[in-house]
Amino acid sequence: MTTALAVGIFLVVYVLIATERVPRVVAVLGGVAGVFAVGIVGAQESFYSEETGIDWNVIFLLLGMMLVVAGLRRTGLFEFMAIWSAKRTRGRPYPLLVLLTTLTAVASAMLDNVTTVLLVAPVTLLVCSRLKLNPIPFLIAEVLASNIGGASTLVGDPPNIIIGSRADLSFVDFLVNLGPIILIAMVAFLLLSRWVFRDAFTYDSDAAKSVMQLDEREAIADPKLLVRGLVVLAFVLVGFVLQRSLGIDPSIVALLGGGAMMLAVPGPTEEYMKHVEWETLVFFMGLFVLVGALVQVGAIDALATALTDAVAGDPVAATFGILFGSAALSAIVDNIPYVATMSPVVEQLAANDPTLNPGNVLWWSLALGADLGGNATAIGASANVVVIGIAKRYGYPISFWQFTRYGLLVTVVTVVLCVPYLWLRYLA
Amino acid sequence: MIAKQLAQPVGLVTTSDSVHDVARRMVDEGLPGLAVVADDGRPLAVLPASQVLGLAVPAYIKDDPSLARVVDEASADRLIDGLASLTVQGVLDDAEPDLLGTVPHDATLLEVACVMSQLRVSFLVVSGPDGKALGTITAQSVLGASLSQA
Repeated sequence: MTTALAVGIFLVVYVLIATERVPRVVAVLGGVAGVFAVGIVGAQESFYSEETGIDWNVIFLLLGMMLVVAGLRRTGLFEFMAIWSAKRTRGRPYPLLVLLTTLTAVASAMLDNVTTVLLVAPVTLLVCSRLKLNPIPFLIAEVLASNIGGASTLVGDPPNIIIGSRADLSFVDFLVNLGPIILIAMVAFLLLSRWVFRDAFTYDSDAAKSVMQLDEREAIADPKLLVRGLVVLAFVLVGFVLQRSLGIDPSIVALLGGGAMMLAVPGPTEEYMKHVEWETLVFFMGLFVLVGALVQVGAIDALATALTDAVAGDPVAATFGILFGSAALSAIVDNIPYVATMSPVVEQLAANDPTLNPGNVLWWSLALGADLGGNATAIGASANVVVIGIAKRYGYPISFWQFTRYGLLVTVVTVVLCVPYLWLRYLA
Repeated sequence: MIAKQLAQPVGLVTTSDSVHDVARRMVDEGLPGLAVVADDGRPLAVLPASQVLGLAVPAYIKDDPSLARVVDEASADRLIDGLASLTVQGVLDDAEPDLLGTVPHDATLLEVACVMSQLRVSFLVVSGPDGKALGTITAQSVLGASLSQA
Protein backbone atom coordinates (compact mmCIF):
# COMPACT_ATOMS: atom_id res chain seq x y z
CA MET A 1 0.00 0.00 0.00
CA THR A 2 2.79 2.42 0.95
CA THR A 3 4.67 1.53 -2.23
CA ALA A 4 1.61 2.17 -4.38
CA LEU A 5 1.07 5.51 -2.64
CA ALA A 6 4.68 6.61 -3.16
CA VAL A 7 4.66 5.56 -6.82
CA GLY A 8 1.22 7.15 -7.34
CA ILE A 9 2.30 10.49 -5.87
CA PHE A 10 5.50 10.39 -7.91
CA LEU A 11 3.66 9.71 -11.17
CA VAL A 12 1.15 12.49 -10.55
CA VAL A 13 4.01 14.92 -9.94
CA TYR A 14 5.77 13.73 -13.08
CA VAL A 15 2.65 14.22 -15.19
CA LEU A 16 2.15 17.72 -13.73
CA ILE A 17 5.77 18.61 -14.53
CA ALA A 18 5.55 17.22 -18.06
CA THR A 19 2.24 18.88 -18.88
CA GLU A 20 3.18 22.14 -17.14
CA ARG A 21 -0.32 22.35 -15.68
CA VAL A 22 1.17 23.96 -12.59
CA PRO A 23 4.63 25.45 -12.01
CA ARG A 24 7.10 22.58 -11.63
CA VAL A 25 8.20 23.70 -8.17
CA VAL A 26 4.57 23.69 -7.00
CA ALA A 27 4.08 20.19 -8.42
CA VAL A 28 7.15 18.89 -6.61
CA LEU A 29 6.37 20.57 -3.30
CA GLY A 30 2.82 19.22 -3.52
CA GLY A 31 4.29 15.74 -3.93
CA VAL A 32 6.63 16.32 -1.00
CA ALA A 33 3.66 17.33 1.15
CA GLY A 34 1.98 14.10 0.05
CA VAL A 35 4.84 11.77 1.00
CA PHE A 36 5.28 13.54 4.33
CA ALA A 37 1.55 13.54 5.06
CA VAL A 38 1.15 9.80 4.55
CA GLY A 39 4.32 9.11 6.50
CA ILE A 40 6.37 7.44 3.74
CA VAL A 41 9.40 9.46 4.81
CA GLY A 42 10.11 11.84 7.66
CA ALA A 43 12.69 14.48 8.51
CA GLN A 44 15.37 11.91 9.29
CA GLU A 45 15.06 10.15 5.92
CA SER A 46 14.66 13.34 3.89
CA PHE A 47 17.14 15.73 5.46
CA TYR A 48 19.93 13.58 6.92
CA SER A 49 20.05 10.25 5.09
CA GLU A 50 22.59 9.77 2.28
CA GLU A 51 20.40 7.06 0.80
CA THR A 52 16.99 8.70 0.79
CA GLY A 53 17.61 12.34 1.62
CA ILE A 54 18.28 15.58 -0.19
CA ASP A 55 21.66 15.50 -1.92
CA TRP A 56 23.15 18.62 -0.35
CA ASN A 57 26.28 18.26 -2.49
CA VAL A 58 24.15 18.96 -5.55
CA ILE A 59 22.28 21.86 -3.93
CA PHE A 60 25.42 23.62 -2.71
CA LEU A 61 27.35 22.94 -5.91
CA LEU A 62 24.55 24.63 -7.84
CA LEU A 63 24.36 27.51 -5.35
CA GLY A 64 28.13 28.09 -5.45
CA MET A 65 28.25 28.09 -9.25
CA MET A 66 25.28 30.45 -9.45
CA LEU A 67 27.21 32.92 -7.28
CA VAL A 68 30.34 32.50 -9.42
CA VAL A 69 28.29 33.23 -12.55
CA ALA A 70 26.54 36.19 -10.90
CA GLY A 71 29.96 37.77 -10.33
CA LEU A 72 31.24 36.96 -13.83
CA ARG A 73 28.24 38.50 -15.55
CA ARG A 74 29.02 41.79 -13.81
CA THR A 75 32.39 41.94 -15.59
CA GLY A 76 31.11 42.07 -19.21
CA LEU A 77 33.46 39.24 -20.20
CA PHE A 78 30.89 37.33 -22.17
CA GLU A 79 29.73 40.34 -24.19
CA PHE A 80 33.35 41.20 -24.93
CA MET A 81 34.11 37.73 -26.24
CA ALA A 82 30.94 37.47 -28.32
CA ILE A 83 31.46 40.84 -30.05
CA TRP A 84 35.16 40.18 -30.49
CA SER A 85 34.24 36.88 -32.17
CA ALA A 86 31.67 38.55 -34.42
CA LYS A 87 34.24 41.10 -35.56
CA ARG A 88 36.80 38.39 -36.33
CA THR A 89 34.29 36.83 -38.76
CA ARG A 90 33.89 40.23 -40.49
CA GLY A 91 30.15 39.66 -40.53
CA ARG A 92 30.18 36.44 -42.55
CA PRO A 93 27.17 34.47 -41.27
CA TYR A 94 28.44 30.88 -41.13
CA PRO A 95 31.77 31.70 -39.44
CA LEU A 96 29.76 33.91 -37.08
CA LEU A 97 27.50 30.98 -36.19
CA VAL A 98 30.53 28.73 -35.71
CA LEU A 99 32.25 31.17 -33.35
CA LEU A 100 29.13 32.07 -31.36
CA THR A 101 28.07 28.44 -30.92
CA THR A 102 31.61 27.36 -30.02
CA LEU A 103 31.82 30.14 -27.46
CA THR A 104 28.43 29.05 -26.08
CA ALA A 105 29.48 25.40 -25.91
CA VAL A 106 32.76 26.19 -24.12
CA ALA A 107 31.03 28.56 -21.68
CA SER A 108 28.32 25.95 -21.06
CA ALA A 109 30.97 23.46 -20.00
CA MET A 110 31.88 25.80 -17.13
CA LEU A 111 28.61 27.58 -16.41
CA ASP A 112 25.08 26.25 -16.37
CA ASN A 113 23.30 26.20 -19.72
CA VAL A 114 20.45 28.51 -18.82
CA THR A 115 22.84 31.22 -17.66
CA THR A 116 24.96 30.82 -20.76
CA VAL A 117 22.07 31.25 -23.17
CA LEU A 118 20.76 34.18 -21.14
CA LEU A 119 24.15 35.83 -21.62
CA VAL A 120 24.59 35.02 -25.30
CA ALA A 121 21.03 35.77 -26.53
CA PRO A 122 21.09 39.61 -26.18
CA VAL A 123 24.47 39.95 -27.87
CA THR A 124 23.32 37.63 -30.66
CA LEU A 125 20.31 39.87 -31.26
CA LEU A 126 22.56 42.92 -31.40
CA VAL A 127 24.95 41.35 -33.93
CA CYS A 128 22.15 39.87 -36.05
CA SER A 129 20.26 43.18 -36.15
CA ARG A 130 23.48 44.86 -37.33
CA LEU A 131 23.95 42.21 -40.02
CA LYS A 132 20.26 42.25 -40.99
CA LEU A 133 20.14 38.51 -40.30
CA ASN A 134 17.24 36.49 -38.92
CA PRO A 135 18.41 35.70 -35.36
CA ILE A 136 16.22 32.59 -34.92
CA PRO A 137 18.64 30.05 -36.50
CA PHE A 138 21.46 31.56 -34.43
CA LEU A 139 19.48 31.34 -31.19
CA ILE A 140 18.44 27.74 -31.90
CA ALA A 141 22.02 26.78 -32.81
CA GLU A 142 23.33 28.37 -29.62
CA VAL A 143 20.95 26.51 -27.33
CA LEU A 144 21.73 23.22 -29.09
CA ALA A 145 25.46 23.91 -28.69
CA SER A 146 24.89 24.83 -25.06
CA ASN A 147 23.28 21.47 -24.33
CA ILE A 148 26.05 19.64 -26.19
CA GLY A 149 28.90 21.58 -24.54
CA GLY A 150 27.33 21.32 -21.09
CA ALA A 151 27.46 17.53 -21.29
CA SER A 152 31.26 17.52 -21.17
CA THR A 153 31.82 18.45 -17.51
CA LEU A 154 30.52 17.82 -14.02
CA VAL A 155 29.18 21.39 -13.69
CA GLY A 156 28.04 21.93 -17.28
CA ASP A 157 24.58 20.46 -17.00
CA PRO A 158 22.47 19.82 -13.87
CA PRO A 159 21.94 16.10 -14.71
CA ASN A 160 25.73 15.69 -14.62
CA ILE A 161 25.87 17.23 -11.15
CA ILE A 162 23.29 14.70 -9.93
CA ILE A 163 25.16 11.82 -11.61
CA GLY A 164 28.54 12.99 -10.29
CA SER A 165 27.29 13.15 -6.75
CA ARG A 166 25.45 9.83 -6.86
CA ALA A 167 28.29 7.92 -8.56
CA ASP A 168 31.14 9.81 -6.89
CA LEU A 169 32.55 10.91 -10.23
CA SER A 170 34.85 13.93 -10.31
CA PHE A 171 35.17 16.89 -12.68
CA VAL A 172 38.18 15.21 -14.29
CA ASP A 173 36.27 11.91 -14.67
CA PHE A 174 33.59 13.73 -16.66
CA LEU A 175 36.08 15.67 -18.76
CA VAL A 176 38.20 12.63 -19.60
CA ASN A 177 35.27 10.32 -20.35
CA LEU A 178 32.77 12.69 -21.96
CA GLY A 179 35.08 15.42 -23.30
CA PRO A 180 36.26 13.47 -26.39
CA ILE A 181 32.80 12.44 -27.56
CA ILE A 182 31.42 15.91 -26.93
CA LEU A 183 34.23 17.35 -29.04
CA ILE A 184 33.30 14.96 -31.84
CA ALA A 185 29.60 15.74 -31.42
CA MET A 186 30.34 19.47 -31.53
CA VAL A 187 32.33 19.18 -34.76
CA ALA A 188 29.52 17.13 -36.28
CA PHE A 189 27.00 19.72 -35.12
CA LEU A 190 28.96 22.58 -36.71
CA LEU A 191 29.20 20.72 -40.02
CA LEU A 192 25.51 19.88 -39.85
CA SER A 193 24.69 23.53 -39.13
CA ARG A 194 26.21 24.59 -42.45
CA TRP A 195 23.47 22.60 -44.13
CA VAL A 196 20.43 22.86 -41.82
CA PHE A 197 20.69 26.62 -41.30
CA ARG A 198 21.87 27.40 -44.87
CA ASP A 199 18.88 29.68 -45.58
CA ALA A 200 20.00 32.01 -42.80
CA PHE A 201 23.43 32.69 -44.24
CA THR A 202 22.88 35.79 -46.36
CA TYR A 203 25.78 38.22 -46.52
CA ASP A 204 25.37 42.00 -46.77
CA SER A 205 28.72 43.76 -47.09
CA ASP A 206 27.36 47.15 -45.96
CA ALA A 207 25.71 45.58 -42.91
CA ALA A 208 28.92 43.71 -42.16
CA LYS A 209 30.74 47.04 -41.90
CA SER A 210 28.38 48.13 -39.12
CA VAL A 211 29.45 45.16 -36.99
CA MET A 212 33.02 46.40 -37.24
CA GLN A 213 31.85 49.67 -35.64
CA LEU A 214 30.96 47.88 -32.38
CA ASP A 215 33.51 48.45 -29.65
CA GLU A 216 33.80 45.28 -27.57
CA ARG A 217 36.15 46.94 -25.06
CA GLU A 218 33.26 49.12 -23.90
CA ALA A 219 31.51 45.98 -22.59
CA ILE A 220 34.15 45.74 -19.87
CA ALA A 221 32.97 48.20 -17.24
CA ASP A 222 36.04 47.83 -15.01
CA PRO A 223 39.12 45.87 -16.19
CA LYS A 224 40.24 45.31 -12.59
CA LEU A 225 36.97 43.55 -11.78
CA LEU A 226 37.37 41.44 -14.89
CA VAL A 227 40.85 40.33 -13.88
CA ARG A 228 39.70 39.51 -10.36
CA GLY A 229 36.69 37.59 -11.68
CA LEU A 230 38.88 35.59 -14.05
CA VAL A 231 41.33 34.78 -11.26
CA VAL A 232 38.49 33.42 -9.10
CA LEU A 233 37.13 31.41 -12.04
CA ALA A 234 40.61 29.98 -12.67
CA PHE A 235 40.89 28.96 -9.01
CA VAL A 236 37.47 27.31 -9.15
CA LEU A 237 38.43 25.32 -12.25
CA VAL A 238 41.78 24.32 -10.73
CA GLY A 239 39.87 23.38 -7.56
CA PHE A 240 37.57 21.11 -9.58
CA VAL A 241 40.53 19.47 -11.31
CA LEU A 242 42.42 18.90 -8.03
CA GLN A 243 39.34 18.25 -5.92
CA ARG A 244 39.92 14.51 -5.66
CA SER A 245 43.59 14.82 -4.62
CA LEU A 246 42.77 17.65 -2.23
CA GLY A 247 40.11 15.50 -0.62
CA ILE A 248 37.31 18.04 -0.89
CA ASP A 249 33.90 17.76 -2.50
CA PRO A 250 32.99 19.73 -5.65
CA SER A 251 30.28 21.51 -3.67
CA ILE A 252 32.92 22.92 -1.31
CA VAL A 253 34.99 24.13 -4.28
CA ALA A 254 31.92 25.86 -5.72
CA LEU A 255 30.92 27.43 -2.40
CA LEU A 256 34.46 28.72 -1.83
CA GLY A 257 34.41 30.08 -5.38
CA GLY A 258 31.04 31.76 -4.85
CA GLY A 259 32.22 33.43 -1.66
CA ALA A 260 35.52 34.48 -3.26
CA MET A 261 33.67 35.92 -6.24
CA MET A 262 31.45 38.03 -3.98
CA LEU A 263 34.59 39.44 -2.36
CA ALA A 264 36.60 39.86 -5.57
CA VAL A 265 33.82 41.40 -7.66
CA PRO A 266 31.95 43.39 -5.02
CA GLY A 267 28.40 44.44 -5.68
CA PRO A 268 25.08 44.75 -3.91
CA THR A 269 24.22 41.53 -2.10
CA GLU A 270 20.72 41.75 -3.59
CA GLU A 271 22.26 41.68 -7.07
CA TYR A 272 24.04 38.42 -6.28
CA MET A 273 20.98 36.91 -4.62
CA LYS A 274 18.83 37.90 -7.61
CA HIS A 275 20.92 35.67 -9.84
CA VAL A 276 20.60 32.65 -7.56
CA GLU A 277 17.78 30.56 -8.99
CA TRP A 278 16.10 29.77 -5.69
CA GLU A 279 13.18 28.13 -7.45
CA THR A 280 15.54 25.67 -9.14
CA LEU A 281 17.20 24.84 -5.82
CA VAL A 282 13.84 24.21 -4.16
CA PHE A 283 12.81 22.10 -7.16
CA PHE A 284 15.92 19.94 -6.73
CA MET A 285 15.34 19.54 -3.00
CA GLY A 286 11.75 18.46 -3.59
CA LEU A 287 12.80 16.00 -6.29
CA PHE A 288 15.33 14.39 -3.98
CA VAL A 289 12.66 13.94 -1.29
CA LEU A 290 10.28 12.33 -3.79
CA VAL A 291 12.93 9.99 -5.22
CA GLY A 292 14.04 9.24 -1.66
CA ALA A 293 10.48 8.11 -0.90
CA LEU A 294 10.68 5.68 -3.85
CA VAL A 295 13.99 4.36 -2.51
CA GLN A 296 12.50 4.07 0.97
CA VAL A 297 9.57 1.89 -0.18
CA GLY A 298 11.80 -0.29 -2.36
CA ALA A 299 10.37 0.82 -5.72
CA ILE A 300 13.77 1.85 -7.09
CA ASP A 301 15.28 -1.45 -5.99
CA ALA A 302 12.47 -3.38 -7.70
CA LEU A 303 12.90 -1.40 -10.93
CA ALA A 304 16.67 -1.95 -10.90
CA THR A 305 16.20 -5.67 -10.30
CA ALA A 306 13.74 -5.87 -13.20
CA LEU A 307 16.21 -4.05 -15.45
CA THR A 308 19.03 -6.34 -14.31
CA ASP A 309 16.93 -9.36 -15.29
CA ALA A 310 15.95 -7.72 -18.58
CA VAL A 311 19.52 -7.09 -19.73
CA ALA A 312 20.57 -10.56 -18.54
CA GLY A 313 24.18 -9.67 -17.86
CA ASP A 314 24.70 -8.05 -21.27
CA PRO A 315 26.52 -4.71 -20.83
CA VAL A 316 25.87 -3.76 -24.46
CA ALA A 317 22.13 -4.04 -24.01
CA ALA A 318 22.31 -2.16 -20.70
CA THR A 319 24.50 0.63 -22.08
CA PHE A 320 22.59 1.30 -25.25
CA GLY A 321 19.23 0.72 -23.58
CA ILE A 322 20.09 3.48 -21.12
CA LEU A 323 21.56 5.73 -23.85
CA PHE A 324 18.59 5.59 -26.20
CA GLY A 325 15.98 5.31 -23.46
CA SER A 326 17.39 8.37 -21.74
CA ALA A 327 17.56 10.34 -24.99
CA ALA A 328 13.95 9.47 -25.83
CA LEU A 329 12.58 10.24 -22.35
CA SER A 330 14.62 13.43 -21.97
CA ALA A 331 13.10 14.70 -25.17
CA ILE A 332 9.66 14.44 -23.62
CA VAL A 333 10.26 15.37 -19.99
CA ASP A 334 12.77 17.71 -18.40
CA ASN A 335 16.04 15.81 -18.06
CA ILE A 336 16.58 16.91 -14.44
CA PRO A 337 13.71 14.92 -12.85
CA TYR A 338 14.50 12.07 -15.23
CA VAL A 339 18.11 11.81 -14.07
CA ALA A 340 17.17 12.34 -10.43
CA THR A 341 14.93 9.27 -10.76
CA MET A 342 17.26 7.15 -12.86
CA SER A 343 20.45 7.76 -10.85
CA PRO A 344 19.50 5.46 -7.95
CA VAL A 345 18.23 2.92 -10.50
CA VAL A 346 21.57 2.91 -12.38
CA GLU A 347 23.44 2.77 -9.06
CA GLN A 348 21.46 -0.29 -8.04
CA LEU A 349 21.81 -1.85 -11.50
CA ALA A 350 25.62 -1.50 -11.30
CA ALA A 351 25.62 -2.88 -7.75
CA ASN A 352 23.47 -5.87 -8.72
CA ASP A 353 25.82 -6.83 -11.55
CA PRO A 354 29.17 -4.96 -11.67
CA THR A 355 30.04 -6.56 -15.04
CA LEU A 356 27.36 -4.34 -16.62
CA ASN A 357 29.30 -1.20 -15.75
CA PRO A 358 32.90 -1.43 -17.06
CA GLY A 359 34.57 1.99 -16.73
CA ASN A 360 31.29 3.45 -15.41
CA VAL A 361 29.82 3.13 -18.90
CA LEU A 362 26.27 3.03 -17.53
CA TRP A 363 26.77 6.45 -15.93
CA TRP A 364 28.27 7.90 -19.12
CA SER A 365 25.42 6.57 -21.23
CA LEU A 366 22.91 8.04 -18.78
CA ALA A 367 24.64 11.44 -18.92
CA LEU A 368 24.99 11.45 -22.71
CA GLY A 369 21.45 10.23 -23.32
CA ALA A 370 19.87 12.72 -20.93
CA ASP A 371 22.03 15.72 -21.90
CA LEU A 372 21.93 15.23 -25.66
CA GLY A 373 18.31 14.03 -25.62
CA GLY A 374 17.37 17.38 -24.09
CA ASN A 375 18.02 18.94 -27.51
CA ALA A 376 15.34 16.94 -29.28
CA THR A 377 12.30 19.08 -28.51
CA ALA A 378 11.47 22.60 -27.41
CA ILE A 379 10.74 21.35 -23.88
CA GLY A 380 13.57 18.81 -23.54
CA ALA A 381 15.87 21.07 -21.51
CA SER A 382 15.43 24.19 -19.41
CA ALA A 383 17.72 26.20 -21.73
CA ASN A 384 15.44 25.46 -24.71
CA VAL A 385 12.41 26.80 -22.87
CA VAL A 386 14.34 29.90 -21.78
CA VAL A 387 15.59 30.75 -25.29
CA ILE A 388 12.16 30.27 -26.82
CA GLY A 389 10.76 32.65 -24.18
CA ILE A 390 13.46 35.25 -24.85
CA ALA A 391 13.05 35.02 -28.61
CA LYS A 392 9.31 35.62 -28.28
CA ARG A 393 9.91 38.66 -26.09
CA TYR A 394 12.34 40.06 -28.65
CA GLY A 395 9.74 39.69 -31.40
CA TYR A 396 11.07 36.48 -32.99
CA PRO A 397 8.71 33.69 -31.89
CA ILE A 398 10.02 30.15 -32.34
CA SER A 399 7.33 27.49 -32.62
CA PHE A 400 7.59 24.09 -30.94
CA TRP A 401 7.96 22.35 -34.30
CA GLN A 402 10.40 24.90 -35.69
CA PHE A 403 12.73 24.12 -32.80
CA THR A 404 12.05 20.40 -32.82
CA ARG A 405 12.79 20.09 -36.55
CA TYR A 406 16.37 21.15 -35.94
CA GLY A 407 16.72 19.73 -32.42
CA LEU A 408 15.56 16.23 -33.30
CA LEU A 409 18.00 15.94 -36.18
CA VAL A 410 20.90 17.15 -34.04
CA THR A 411 19.90 14.77 -31.24
CA VAL A 412 19.75 11.75 -33.55
CA VAL A 413 23.16 12.54 -35.06
CA THR A 414 24.90 13.25 -31.74
CA VAL A 415 23.38 10.29 -29.88
CA VAL A 416 24.20 7.90 -32.72
CA LEU A 417 27.80 9.18 -32.64
CA CYS A 418 27.94 8.05 -28.99
CA VAL A 419 27.34 4.43 -29.98
CA PRO A 420 30.75 3.68 -31.58
CA TYR A 421 32.46 5.80 -28.93
CA LEU A 422 30.96 3.91 -25.99
CA TRP A 423 31.41 0.60 -27.75
CA LEU A 424 35.06 1.09 -28.65
CA ARG A 425 36.09 2.70 -25.38
CA TYR A 426 34.25 0.61 -22.81
CA LEU A 427 32.67 -2.48 -24.34
CA ALA A 428 34.87 -3.83 -27.15
CA MET B 1 -7.51 74.75 -6.34
CA ILE B 2 -8.72 71.75 -8.36
CA ALA B 3 -7.37 69.86 -11.34
CA LYS B 4 -9.82 71.42 -13.81
CA GLN B 5 -8.30 74.84 -13.15
CA LEU B 6 -4.83 73.62 -14.07
CA ALA B 7 -5.74 71.41 -17.04
CA GLN B 8 -4.33 72.55 -20.37
CA PRO B 9 -5.98 71.41 -23.60
CA VAL B 10 -2.66 70.26 -25.02
CA GLY B 11 -0.81 67.02 -25.42
CA LEU B 12 -3.70 64.83 -26.56
CA VAL B 13 -3.02 62.15 -29.17
CA THR B 14 -5.00 59.27 -30.63
CA THR B 15 -4.18 55.60 -30.90
CA SER B 16 -3.55 55.77 -34.65
CA ASP B 17 -0.77 58.39 -34.33
CA SER B 18 2.74 57.13 -34.91
CA VAL B 19 5.08 57.10 -31.92
CA HIS B 20 7.60 58.97 -34.05
CA ASP B 21 5.10 61.86 -34.47
CA VAL B 22 4.27 61.72 -30.77
CA ALA B 23 7.96 62.14 -29.95
CA ARG B 24 8.13 65.09 -32.33
CA ARG B 25 5.15 66.77 -30.61
CA MET B 26 6.69 66.28 -27.17
CA VAL B 27 9.79 68.08 -28.36
CA ASP B 28 7.95 70.85 -30.22
CA GLU B 29 5.46 71.51 -27.40
CA GLY B 30 8.02 71.05 -24.62
CA LEU B 31 5.86 68.49 -22.80
CA PRO B 32 7.06 65.71 -20.45
CA GLY B 33 4.47 63.37 -21.99
CA LEU B 34 1.22 63.12 -23.93
CA ALA B 35 -2.23 61.76 -23.16
CA VAL B 36 -3.80 59.16 -25.39
CA VAL B 37 -7.53 59.56 -26.00
CA ALA B 38 -10.05 57.36 -27.77
CA ASP B 39 -12.09 58.60 -30.75
CA ASP B 40 -14.92 59.61 -28.38
CA GLY B 41 -12.54 61.68 -26.24
CA ARG B 42 -12.15 59.22 -23.34
CA PRO B 43 -8.64 59.17 -21.86
CA LEU B 44 -6.93 55.85 -22.46
CA ALA B 45 -3.40 56.29 -21.19
CA VAL B 46 -0.54 58.59 -20.41
CA LEU B 47 2.55 58.28 -22.52
CA PRO B 48 5.48 59.84 -20.65
CA ALA B 49 8.56 60.90 -22.64
CA SER B 50 10.65 58.48 -20.60
CA GLN B 51 8.50 55.63 -21.87
CA VAL B 52 8.88 56.74 -25.47
CA LEU B 53 12.64 56.73 -24.91
CA GLY B 54 12.33 53.29 -23.36
CA LEU B 55 10.53 52.07 -26.49
CA ALA B 56 13.50 53.17 -28.56
CA VAL B 57 15.78 50.85 -26.58
CA PRO B 58 15.73 47.31 -28.02
CA ALA B 59 14.60 44.64 -25.56
CA TYR B 60 17.94 42.83 -25.80
CA ILE B 61 19.77 45.95 -24.63
CA LYS B 62 17.32 46.37 -21.74
CA ASP B 63 18.20 42.79 -20.76
CA ASP B 64 21.93 43.47 -21.03
CA PRO B 65 22.57 47.21 -20.56
CA SER B 66 26.32 46.78 -21.05
CA LEU B 67 25.57 46.32 -24.77
CA ALA B 68 24.46 49.97 -24.95
CA ARG B 69 28.10 50.96 -24.42
CA VAL B 70 29.44 48.90 -27.33
CA VAL B 71 27.21 50.59 -29.94
CA ASP B 72 29.02 53.37 -31.79
CA GLU B 73 27.94 56.99 -31.37
CA ALA B 74 26.54 57.42 -34.89
CA SER B 75 24.24 54.39 -34.54
CA ALA B 76 23.25 55.35 -31.01
CA ASP B 77 22.21 58.80 -32.24
CA ARG B 78 19.62 57.15 -34.48
CA LEU B 79 17.89 55.30 -31.64
CA ILE B 80 14.52 56.84 -32.53
CA ASP B 81 14.58 55.28 -36.05
CA GLY B 82 13.18 52.06 -34.67
CA LEU B 83 9.93 53.79 -33.73
CA ALA B 84 8.98 54.83 -37.27
CA SER B 85 6.60 51.94 -37.83
CA LEU B 86 5.19 51.84 -34.29
CA THR B 87 1.77 53.35 -33.50
CA VAL B 88 0.44 54.45 -30.14
CA GLN B 89 -1.98 51.51 -30.24
CA GLY B 90 0.99 49.15 -30.51
CA VAL B 91 2.45 50.68 -27.39
CA LEU B 92 -0.80 50.35 -25.46
CA ASP B 93 -1.14 46.69 -26.47
CA ASP B 94 2.13 45.92 -24.68
CA ALA B 95 1.72 48.42 -21.86
CA GLU B 96 1.38 47.69 -18.17
CA PRO B 97 -2.17 48.11 -16.84
CA ASP B 98 -1.20 51.00 -14.53
CA LEU B 99 -0.23 53.17 -17.48
CA LEU B 100 -3.56 55.01 -17.31
CA GLY B 101 -2.84 58.07 -15.20
CA THR B 102 -6.07 59.98 -14.92
CA VAL B 103 -7.51 62.28 -12.27
CA PRO B 104 -11.08 63.61 -12.09
CA HIS B 105 -11.67 67.29 -12.86
CA ASP B 106 -12.41 68.08 -9.21
CA ALA B 107 -9.29 66.42 -7.76
CA THR B 108 -7.36 68.63 -5.33
CA LEU B 109 -3.64 69.33 -5.70
CA LEU B 110 -2.96 66.75 -2.98
CA GLU B 111 -4.90 64.09 -4.90
CA VAL B 112 -3.08 64.95 -8.10
CA ALA B 113 0.30 64.86 -6.34
CA CYS B 114 -0.63 61.53 -4.76
CA VAL B 115 -1.51 59.91 -8.12
CA MET B 116 1.65 61.29 -9.75
CA SER B 117 3.88 59.96 -7.00
CA GLN B 118 2.14 56.57 -6.97
CA LEU B 119 2.51 56.14 -10.72
CA ARG B 120 5.91 57.87 -10.77
CA VAL B 121 4.85 60.12 -13.64
CA SER B 122 5.04 63.89 -14.02
CA PHE B 123 2.06 64.11 -16.31
CA LEU B 124 -1.64 63.18 -15.94
CA VAL B 125 -4.88 63.42 -17.87
CA VAL B 126 -7.78 65.37 -16.33
CA SER B 127 -11.15 63.84 -17.12
CA GLY B 128 -14.35 65.84 -17.16
CA PRO B 129 -17.77 64.93 -15.65
CA ASP B 130 -18.71 63.19 -18.91
CA GLY B 131 -15.56 61.04 -18.79
CA LYS B 132 -13.90 62.83 -21.71
CA ALA B 133 -10.41 64.27 -21.44
CA LEU B 134 -10.38 67.94 -20.53
CA GLY B 135 -6.65 68.32 -20.94
CA THR B 136 -3.41 67.49 -19.24
CA ILE B 137 -1.71 68.52 -16.05
CA THR B 138 2.01 68.48 -15.29
CA ALA B 139 4.00 68.18 -12.06
CA GLN B 140 5.43 71.63 -12.77
CA SER B 141 1.97 73.22 -12.89
CA VAL B 142 0.98 71.48 -9.64
CA LEU B 143 4.14 72.70 -7.90
CA GLY B 144 3.65 76.19 -9.32
CA ALA B 145 0.06 76.35 -8.16
CA SER B 146 0.98 75.15 -4.70
CA LEU B 147 3.84 77.65 -4.41
CA SER B 148 1.53 80.47 -5.41
CA GLN B 149 -0.76 79.58 -2.51
CA ALA B 150 2.07 79.50 0.02
